[in-house]
Amino acid sequence: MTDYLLSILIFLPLLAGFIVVLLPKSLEPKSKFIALAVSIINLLISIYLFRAFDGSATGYQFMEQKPWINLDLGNFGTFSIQYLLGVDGISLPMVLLAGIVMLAGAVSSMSIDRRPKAFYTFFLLLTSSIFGCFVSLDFFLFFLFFEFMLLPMYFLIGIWGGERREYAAMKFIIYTLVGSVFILVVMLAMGLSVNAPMNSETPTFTFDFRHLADAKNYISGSVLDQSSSIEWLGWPVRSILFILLLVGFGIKLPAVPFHTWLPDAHVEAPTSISVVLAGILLKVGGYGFLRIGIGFFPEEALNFAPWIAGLGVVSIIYGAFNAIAQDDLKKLIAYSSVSHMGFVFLGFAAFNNEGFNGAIYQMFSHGLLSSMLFLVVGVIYDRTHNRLIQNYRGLAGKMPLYTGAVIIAFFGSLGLPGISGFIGEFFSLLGGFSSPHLSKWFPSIAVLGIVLSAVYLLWALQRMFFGNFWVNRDLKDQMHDLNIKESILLYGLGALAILYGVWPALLLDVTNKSVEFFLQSIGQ
Amino acid sequence: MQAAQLIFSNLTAYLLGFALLILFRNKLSETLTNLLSIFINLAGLILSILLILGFQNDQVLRFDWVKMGQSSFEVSLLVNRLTILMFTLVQFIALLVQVFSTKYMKGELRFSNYFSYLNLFVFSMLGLVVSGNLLFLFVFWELVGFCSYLLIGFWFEKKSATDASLKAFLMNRIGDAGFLIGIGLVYFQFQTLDLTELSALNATNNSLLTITALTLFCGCMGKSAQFPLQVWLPDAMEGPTPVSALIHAATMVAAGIFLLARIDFIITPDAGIVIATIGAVTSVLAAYSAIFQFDIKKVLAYSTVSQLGLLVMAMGVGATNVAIFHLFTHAFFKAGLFLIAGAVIHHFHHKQDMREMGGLLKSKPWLAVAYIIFGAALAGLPLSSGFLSKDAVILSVYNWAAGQSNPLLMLIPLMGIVASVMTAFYVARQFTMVFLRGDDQKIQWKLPDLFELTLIPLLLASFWFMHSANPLSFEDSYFSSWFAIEHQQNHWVAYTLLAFAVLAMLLAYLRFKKEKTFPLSLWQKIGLEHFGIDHFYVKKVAPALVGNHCPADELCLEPESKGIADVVSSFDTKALDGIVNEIGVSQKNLSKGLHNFDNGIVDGSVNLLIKGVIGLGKTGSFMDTKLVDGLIKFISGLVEQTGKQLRKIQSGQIQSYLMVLIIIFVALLIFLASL
Amino acid sequence: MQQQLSHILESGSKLSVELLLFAGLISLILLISFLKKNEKARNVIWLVSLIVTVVSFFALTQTFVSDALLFNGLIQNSSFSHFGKSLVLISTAIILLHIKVMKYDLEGEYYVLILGIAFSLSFLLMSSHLLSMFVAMEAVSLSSYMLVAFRQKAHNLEAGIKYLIFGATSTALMLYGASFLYGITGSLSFAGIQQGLTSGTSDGNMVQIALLMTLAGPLFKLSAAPFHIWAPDVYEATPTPLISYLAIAPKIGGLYIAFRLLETVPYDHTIILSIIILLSILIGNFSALTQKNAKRMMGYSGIAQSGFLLVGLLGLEITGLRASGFYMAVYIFMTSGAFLLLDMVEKQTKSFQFSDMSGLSQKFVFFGIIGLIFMVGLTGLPPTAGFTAKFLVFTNVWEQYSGGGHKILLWVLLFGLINTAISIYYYFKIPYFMFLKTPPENKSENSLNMTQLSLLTILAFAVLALFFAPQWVQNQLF
Repeated sequence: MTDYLLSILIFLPLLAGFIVVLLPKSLEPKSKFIALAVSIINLLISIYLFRAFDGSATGYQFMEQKPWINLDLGNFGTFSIQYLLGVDGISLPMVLLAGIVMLAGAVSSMSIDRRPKAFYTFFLLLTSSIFGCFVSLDFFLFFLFFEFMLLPMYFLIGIWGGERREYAAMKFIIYTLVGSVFILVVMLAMGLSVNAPMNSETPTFTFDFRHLADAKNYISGSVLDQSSSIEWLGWPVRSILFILLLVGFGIKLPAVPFHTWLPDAHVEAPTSISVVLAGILLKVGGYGFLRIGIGFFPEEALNFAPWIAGLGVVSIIYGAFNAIAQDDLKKLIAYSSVSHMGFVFLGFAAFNNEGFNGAIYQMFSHGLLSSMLFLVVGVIYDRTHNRLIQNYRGLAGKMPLYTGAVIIAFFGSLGLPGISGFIGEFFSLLGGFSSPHLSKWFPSIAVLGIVLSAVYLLWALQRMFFGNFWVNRDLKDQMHDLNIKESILLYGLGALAILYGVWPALLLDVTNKSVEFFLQSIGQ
Repeated sequence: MQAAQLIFSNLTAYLLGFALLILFRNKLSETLTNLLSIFINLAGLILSILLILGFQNDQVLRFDWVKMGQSSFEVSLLVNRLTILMFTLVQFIALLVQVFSTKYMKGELRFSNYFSYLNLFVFSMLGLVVSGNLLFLFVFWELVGFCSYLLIGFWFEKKSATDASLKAFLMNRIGDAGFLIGIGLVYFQFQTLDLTELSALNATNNSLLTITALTLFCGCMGKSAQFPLQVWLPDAMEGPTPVSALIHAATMVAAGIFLLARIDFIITPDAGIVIATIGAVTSVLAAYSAIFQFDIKKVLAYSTVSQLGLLVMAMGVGATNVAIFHLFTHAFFKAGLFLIAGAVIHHFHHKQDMREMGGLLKSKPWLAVAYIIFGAALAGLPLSSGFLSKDAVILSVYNWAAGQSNPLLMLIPLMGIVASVMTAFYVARQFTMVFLRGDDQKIQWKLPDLFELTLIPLLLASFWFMHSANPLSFEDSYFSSWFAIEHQQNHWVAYTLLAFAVLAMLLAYLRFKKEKTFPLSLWQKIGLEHFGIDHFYVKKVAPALVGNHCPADELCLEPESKGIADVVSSFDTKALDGIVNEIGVSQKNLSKGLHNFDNGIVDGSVNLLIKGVIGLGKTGSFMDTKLVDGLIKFISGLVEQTGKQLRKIQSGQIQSYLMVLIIIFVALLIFLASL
Repeated sequence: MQQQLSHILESGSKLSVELLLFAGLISLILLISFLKKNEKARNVIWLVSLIVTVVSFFALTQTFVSDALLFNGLIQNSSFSHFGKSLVLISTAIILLHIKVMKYDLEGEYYVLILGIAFSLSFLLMSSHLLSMFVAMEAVSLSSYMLVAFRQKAHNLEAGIKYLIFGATSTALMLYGASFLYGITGSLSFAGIQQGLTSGTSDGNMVQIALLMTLAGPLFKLSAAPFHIWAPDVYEATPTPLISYLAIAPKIGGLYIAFRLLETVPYDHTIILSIIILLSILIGNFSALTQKNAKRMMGYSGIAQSGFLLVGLLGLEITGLRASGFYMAVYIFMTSGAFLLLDMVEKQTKSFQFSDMSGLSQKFVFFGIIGLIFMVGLTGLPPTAGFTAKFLVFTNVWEQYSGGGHKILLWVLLFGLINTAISIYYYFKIPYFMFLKTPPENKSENSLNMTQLSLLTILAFAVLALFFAPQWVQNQLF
């Protein structure tokens, strides 16, 4: 049983999805419990994996390997696509995060009453593909899950979203599809350049991450061979492919200027889907970029380090300025995601332990905190169906529990020490400062982000929560404090954020060795 | 007990206090809350005294926290004299403030929150004090700021209070951003953040190190309210007065000085000059402003800023221990002054304008006595603790400047002296306005109330004898036996200063003895408005950043304007997203165009061509029918009887299709031929 | 003479499938002539044609493939053509089923035409000689014209005529080109032309131009640019199962002939082929974007898909051809499935307008999901075989490029793939309207026909299954 834990993570939701589809009409309201149960089981498995993971070992653990599809390419050779799963210290935090966020999403979506069957089917499919993304060790398999995330997301936004949901859903899918097309090009090129070791006669092209990361396996003379000097439009093709990856994953992350899908998608998506989107989907971009972009194109990544850092810094500052100007709380938080994910790129560009660990931590922490933030918006939206900041004042007096949660979320997100956000931002910045590859200007400017994040978050806090209680008269009906479900969700996530803020070793003990190994493997 | 255990149990106690009070805030009665909080504080104080007793030599205690590659980030406790001095000081003043608060905050709606925040504050402040590396120093530094935010905005229903808390946090954040850059630069240069390891490294004096020192100093500028970030501190007086006494006079604001003391080995001479200058400027500006304030707490707030300026000045010239000495004495008498202000405000039912006060000497003589003692210390009169420490500051700066080759540097101590004279002036002014004026009654000596009793320990600490056997010589102070203070030349400077100070006090008494209100002259306005610095931030910088938007339910007082953020945002929606949408639209247009071109129907030129070909006297439609009909008959003979229907075929369509086909084809041929 | 005769007889014996089809055709004609024109008779005719198709298919699977030239080199039976023929027969069977489940009551003549197309395509797929190619292609064309124009309604006829005129023009161009080739090399057989071109010193440009003109024929069959203009009109006007057939079957032949012609002329065709591909994708994709009618959209989509089909021919490697073959196989299932879907939608809404599909799958969730599979497949996203197909053809492009090919190949790769991203906009209009839009109030409560849904499901299953088990098709490839 324990040999197939990773498979269970993928197939349990898939199976549950099928069960939900086939539920008779009378049992339709029960579908949310199926989703909930699956999310709980997946979280438990993730926690088990986390506990059982040997943090002192390098390489992948809990591996599963099965030959899967063999695409015959005639006299070129064959594509050997494997069903290859495994986790290391880089992906495991993401798996755990997925477990947490999907459970939060499942709980917060329990209030969905419109077409629950379809909703939970898509939700479960999404769950399956998210987990699949993080545990795949085969590029093809990764890509499969990566693409498959789009469809459920498209429908979840498009059917259960807000007023402009159709526009947002279409924008989301086209944007991300363009990104994944770029990734596909790279995947194709890489697959065709890498020969699985042991096969010498007819080439067996492989997508195995372990082989892709090893320069020895590149067929000499192929375009992606490290020594290749083939150019296109005056650029080495390797660099071009790296740029494609940068853009492809940059769209997902999202990095400015590829971010414009995000405010729309976030604002239109229902609360639980915003939670999932911000909490875990964006991390696929970061994770993919680290594993594939940097892992397989180390030299190019190093050459482009200032550009990566630049994208990160621009995202931080630009996202923050945008957040300041928003009147809609959800949009503010959406832009804050752009800003906070910028630290991830900054950390990556550092090419050192601090930077990588910091970036991974930042992803994890942003998963917790942005989930919380979107749940915070959801609370108010559930009550009044209005998210404009200027319609509220003095909620603190009327809703103390809610305000407490908001304070944790906001301060966590602006990087108050003691809450996880600080660790991620601090180490990303520290990485940036101590990196010999980066000008000190990058982290120095990025630091401004912590000032700006205080501006938009605390200003919103002041406008909405402080002062005498007042709500725009059309919305006055039911401003009651958090109910039990909301309290558990918000304070649960808050407690996690604080736990990981105080005791980062919980996560870093798992990532540290793998990051070190990863850095070695890319020659740092 | 081991030092580590003492410190940890001390910290835990406060954290526990915070957690209990916040969790059971609706369950605990007011008395129980007070008792619990004071008990924790008392226990903490006892622990800290145990720490002092057990102290032998400097210790660094390290505990694993996080490992990354080769580097390891630890929880480290640096226990040295400075640590335990601050450790005890904070808890001592906190205890008094808590006792004071039990009366001051009686009947408040969220008293439990208040005490829990105080506990969290003490926890954070202690953490800051014991941290042995810059990382944890920063962590607690930020937490302290967070508590300050909570406490300043404690009465969050008041807009002015939340404005002040926001401003305080943001100003601090700006400083912290610099601090963070400094930490980064330190890590870049030395690969460690541990203070002990850093002090052991021989840092060479280079420009990067100067920049590092100055960026670290940014943190101090925020926390210790140095120019140009000082504007938050006067506003912070919106918080409950005991909080002002604890946080915004005695402890948190001193954290900046404490930070400089911790990193004094990094401060290069160049950086020192900048720091000293900023301190001197701050002290003069703030002292000048303090002279013209009417709000009883604002006078004290500006006074605090001014005194902190003096401390920073001393730190800049390398007189670390002197600065710590003044920090130490200042903590007592400034906390005392604030508590007096609290008692006065309480007495006047939350009125704070000194113009409406007076004659308190008669009704509250104990307070007046206390004020005289604290005020003397602040003004630096002999026999007070302030005399000792301030003279030490002024003298060490003067002697430093005298030893420099650049005569301009003499301006720095000069500013310090001017600020000190002004200090004496506003102390006397405040005393006159609050205690003296008024009707002629008998002085009523009553038993001191809780407020006044709380002051006693502080009063004791404000006399010379607690600090030195000789009331006139700081070199002989007990303090100096712990923190070596150099003997200073030129004691005449101190005496001259004293003479001027006494003169200033006399002037102030004469000036404000009678006058209750007076028209404001330009200079007074400048002082009252603190040189318009705050105004500049609020009316110029902030709108430039976030714009000025009218709230939904209020009349717009200011014209609406757009800030940078609005511009960026409209760029995002109009330009960046706009481009995307534009691409979408143009793609549709392109596709429409292609489609149209493809259909060839609307393509005028093609039609024209066809008409030209078909031309002359016959309608296009007729030719069409003929041509098409003929072709059909020729090939299949299928449609003999369908001539009628064929006429319905739109004119020119097929021909234009063919034309398009042929055009494309010819283009391909030409292209091919040109290869 | 004797020898010739025995050769012909021997050749004939290797054409068992064609003979079967021919026999079927004859019997159909006889049936039509002698049976009464009632529904029962039409059912019999349908059944007979299905049986003929299925039997031919099984006969085909039993046939041993030899790479022999038959009939004096007029035709050549290769494994390539073998695969093509099986695709033709499969699509014929699908279309026959489509006709039946959708309860089309077609006259017997239609079946003759359908089988006629299959029969002619078999020959087209074997032709190795300009003459046999021309004859077979014209046979296909004539049957197609008639299929489009047969039901004598005005717009049908109009579409038929458009089809005809374009067909005729491209035929003319092809003939003209073929005559050039003959003039240059003095041979009509592909092998002869190839030999003539490699040994002789002929004007390269002239040969290229001749080749391009000759390509007009297959490109017309593929509805690839610039011979695509007929497609949307014809698609819109023709009854759904018939256009479904015409969208698939002739493309198989066209692809084969395009390959044979390119192979025959031993020059580097990369640029010209790339331009044709890029043009087809561009025109097809971008024109499809604004369509409001699903069938017209499918017409433009067919143009773009032809571009993708041709991608496999770049470089003329067997790998690429296999990729194209795989694409073709998947394309059959996706396209016939999509048309069946549209046909079923039309039964519900009486319209092919996207806007009329609003909220359809809110009522029929399963139907919507199946529909989604086809659209996902046509876009080329995993986990459908549409992805594998695109993956394989672009693998070919990358291989060509990295093997030192022309730089334009990378453009084809990037541009082609970006176009897949764009294509999602119009393919997803169907699920967009079916899932995301709310249904109008006054909706007639039709229920879905289970047989129709079953056929649809089977086709969708194929689209999915070939992703997970591409070897099912790959093992059949040449």
